[in-house]
Amino acid sequence: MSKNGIPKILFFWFGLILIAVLLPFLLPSYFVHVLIMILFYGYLGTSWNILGGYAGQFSFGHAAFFGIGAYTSTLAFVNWQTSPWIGMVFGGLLGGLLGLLIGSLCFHYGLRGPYFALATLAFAELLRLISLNLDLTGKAMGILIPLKGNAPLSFQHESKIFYYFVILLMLIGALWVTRRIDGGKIGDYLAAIREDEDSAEAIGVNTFAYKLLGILISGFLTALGGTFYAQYFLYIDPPVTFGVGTSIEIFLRPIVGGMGTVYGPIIGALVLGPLGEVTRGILGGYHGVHLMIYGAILVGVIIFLPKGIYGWLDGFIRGHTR
Amino acid sequence: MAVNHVSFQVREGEILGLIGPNGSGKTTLFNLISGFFAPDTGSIYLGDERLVGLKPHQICKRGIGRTFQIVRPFPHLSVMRNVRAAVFNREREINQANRRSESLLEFVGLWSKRKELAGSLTLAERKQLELARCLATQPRFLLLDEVMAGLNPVEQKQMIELVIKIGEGGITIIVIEHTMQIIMTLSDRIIVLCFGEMIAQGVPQEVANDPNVIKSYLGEKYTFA
Repeated sequence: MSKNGIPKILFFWFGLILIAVLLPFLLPSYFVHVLIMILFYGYLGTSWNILGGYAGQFSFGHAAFFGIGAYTSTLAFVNWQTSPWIGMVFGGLLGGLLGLLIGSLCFHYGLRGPYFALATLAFAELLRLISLNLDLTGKAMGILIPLKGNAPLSFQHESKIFYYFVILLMLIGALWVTRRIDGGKIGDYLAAIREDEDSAEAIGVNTFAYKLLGILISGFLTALGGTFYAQYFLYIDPPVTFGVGTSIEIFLRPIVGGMGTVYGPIIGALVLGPLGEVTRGILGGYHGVHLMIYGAILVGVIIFLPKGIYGWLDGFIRGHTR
Repeated sequence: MAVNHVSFQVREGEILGLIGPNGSGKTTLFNLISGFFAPDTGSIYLGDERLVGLKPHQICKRGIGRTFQIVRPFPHLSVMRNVRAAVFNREREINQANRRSESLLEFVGLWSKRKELAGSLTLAERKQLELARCLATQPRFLLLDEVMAGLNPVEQKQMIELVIKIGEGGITIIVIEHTMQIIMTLSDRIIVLCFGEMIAQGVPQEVANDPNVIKSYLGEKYTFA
């Protein structure tokens, strides 16, 4: 690293923060919405990444945690007028608990790889079917969250800029957690488990406990994202919260951006978000064509950049600086 | 049944050689000691503590380290992180962990490769890494499963020197090895397994002259150079 490497890094972060703070005030509402979606999926991807990327436990059912968060805060708000901020915390805790339940079952019985993925999918589907049939959750009708206008304490605001800063802070929080994990003992242990569980055991890693820790953190953070979704769209129903589509959206960005890296998920979100919008804008007239293009680009990334965009960039930069 | 009626003691600080034909249960014995397999009957003690029923990571915490016959580094992690993950077995502080990892890599001769991915190492380097990773857990008891197999004579010589150095550091070692010359020079005592049973034990000369051992394993009398 060059002598003035540190100030350069500081400038970089300062500039990034400045742009992030100013951007929503300069852009029209539609673009703020696009930014919110980028940050939102970046956040969910970052949450998934801790379990799926770092610990290598590929969850295909993260919608389970997402939906638990969305329904917990929403039901508490609709039934008992509890502020969604408080509901969010409880949703997160329930998400973490659900993680412990799924994890202790799956890991106790040694489910790995595709079997673990299918088991998590089954849990999400189970919750989708339950919420589809319970009166409490409004069945297929879903739940409409009552409008409160400009009520930040009720996690509502007429301006999108409010939501922008909420999700920005959530993302920064999730990235901070990931960075803490990445550089230390937990990160090394999760990576060891991902690489070779028996070897990890042999060097003293309690693989069961650390996988549980991974799913606990990941489930907690993902559930917080569920509350954000509910408060932003003010409507939730079973397919959009617990559905397979949501699970896929959650892990798509870390896969494209780079699994098991701190910034991979947000890079994936930065690429896929605008891509989805642009293909829809250009080809929206031909029904479904934009999804085909979107899919083709995804396949291309997975084939040609197997380590994700971050892995490719990292290799590229290292190749030019060392 | 892979191992039956095998009973022996290892004295603190000694290097015990474990030999026997292929499939005689040497690696199975290691898997039993390190907690990867649970014995149907019998017990294993470290000092006064019974190890049966403990998980591998718990046994590692109690000071038993093992290497795998077919080396199993974490291929997509750097050499440094391979070792550091193991250093965290006893060390919590990150800078301290980094320093210890580097000094261990220096000890086994891999320091210059510390930034490379473990998957890109040669077999000899992987064996060195496996040893470093094992030492990183700070064991007082080391199970080495054919750490010299597949190495050329020069690499073997370096590895032997490493093992001797480790033994001199006060760590008790059990070595599985096929090359008689290596096992005879390294070991204070030798145990011979055959079809899961222990057919001989003693100092190298005794074992080499044991008619049973000659018949079932050595094939001919081993002469000391």
